[in-house]
Amino acid sequence: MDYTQSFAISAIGMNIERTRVDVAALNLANANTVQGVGGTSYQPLRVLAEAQMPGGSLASGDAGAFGALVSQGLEGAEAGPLAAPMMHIVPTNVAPRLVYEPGHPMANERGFVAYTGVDTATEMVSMMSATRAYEANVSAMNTTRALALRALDIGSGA
Amino acid sequence: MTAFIPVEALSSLSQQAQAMLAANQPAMVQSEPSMPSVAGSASATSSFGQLVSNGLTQVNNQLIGSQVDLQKLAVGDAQNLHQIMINLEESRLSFQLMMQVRSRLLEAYQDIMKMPI
Amino acid sequence: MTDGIEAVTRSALALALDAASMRQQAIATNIANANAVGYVPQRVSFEAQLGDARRSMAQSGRLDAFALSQVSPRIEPVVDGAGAPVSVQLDVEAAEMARNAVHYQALVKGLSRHFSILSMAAGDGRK
Repeated sequence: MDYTQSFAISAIGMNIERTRVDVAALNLANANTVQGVGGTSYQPLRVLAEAQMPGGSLASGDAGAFGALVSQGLEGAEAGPLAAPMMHIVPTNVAPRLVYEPGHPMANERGFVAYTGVDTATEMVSMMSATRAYEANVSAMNTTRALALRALDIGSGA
Repeated sequence: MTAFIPVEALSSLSQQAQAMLAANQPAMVQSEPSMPSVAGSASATSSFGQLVSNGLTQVNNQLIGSQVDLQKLAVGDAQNLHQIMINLEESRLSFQLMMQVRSRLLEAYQDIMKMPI
Repeated sequence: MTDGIEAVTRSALALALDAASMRQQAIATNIANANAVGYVPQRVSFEAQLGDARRSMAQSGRLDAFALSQVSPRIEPVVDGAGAPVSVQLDVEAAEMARNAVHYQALVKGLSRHFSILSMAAGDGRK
């Protein structure tokens, strides 16, 4: 396989995991925001990574635009050469967390304050697993590089 | 073309070898047992020259194939890095082998020319 | 030795090496300025200029010296579809740096093997 695509695939994986961490951090930052009365509220976001079907030819195309290869894999413009996952950031529709605080200025008529439905524990766990997956992607990229450099040694030495 | 110089050297060598065998054919009749190839020398000369040319063409094609592979690598079309390296090494080895064969043939030719007639 | 296939290979490899070292510089600059405000990431345009050369290579089986002479690697800014500069993405830059390093070493290896074959021919099979 063309080593350009191997590196692009690892870059896509790293990008997705980093986005996961960013999204988890954003959710955690908004964990205690209050839902306005009848107004908009913060819906916790989630990263959705869909697996693409590997298909099409391994056309090298514009091999110079490495960034284009990566973004193509991320947005899934064509499920062609790259068999890497596609990424979407979607808001989840969770019910808000109702807390009984009658003196709160934003409480509704029954005295409940609607906080965003962000589950702190889940966000922390997803941040940790994203970190591990990021390290795994880095390790895959390093291995790819080592293999390619070894292939260059064919025929040298005794 | 520095890579084609040995090509020309070998083909001129093969021509010299053919001429030499044809010229010495009547003289070699007495020493038949030591030169078994003389009996079929008329056909052997053309096949020997053919053999050499075929080998040269093969090595040449291999070298050109490796050059095209390197050009593809430079342009960015490299599909298979290890295959490129393998072909490159193979063509280099066959070139080396051909150079060795040429040296031995030259030595043999010079040995024969040194023989007093 | 101006138009032979060996000369074309040598100039193609040398040009690709130029592009690869320029690319390494661009990536290093991008990484250094990753958090700078208003920084426009750089990229090297080389393979994109080679469309003509690739077409002629598909047809004739080898690279055309003239098509190669029209190509010169240059640095250009990275902009998205609307013309606005994109932000620097560190892991994409890191992966691109690894790829570029492998490519550079492959080019160097190929060039040195190419020269060793030629020196074998020039030296009569002796070192």
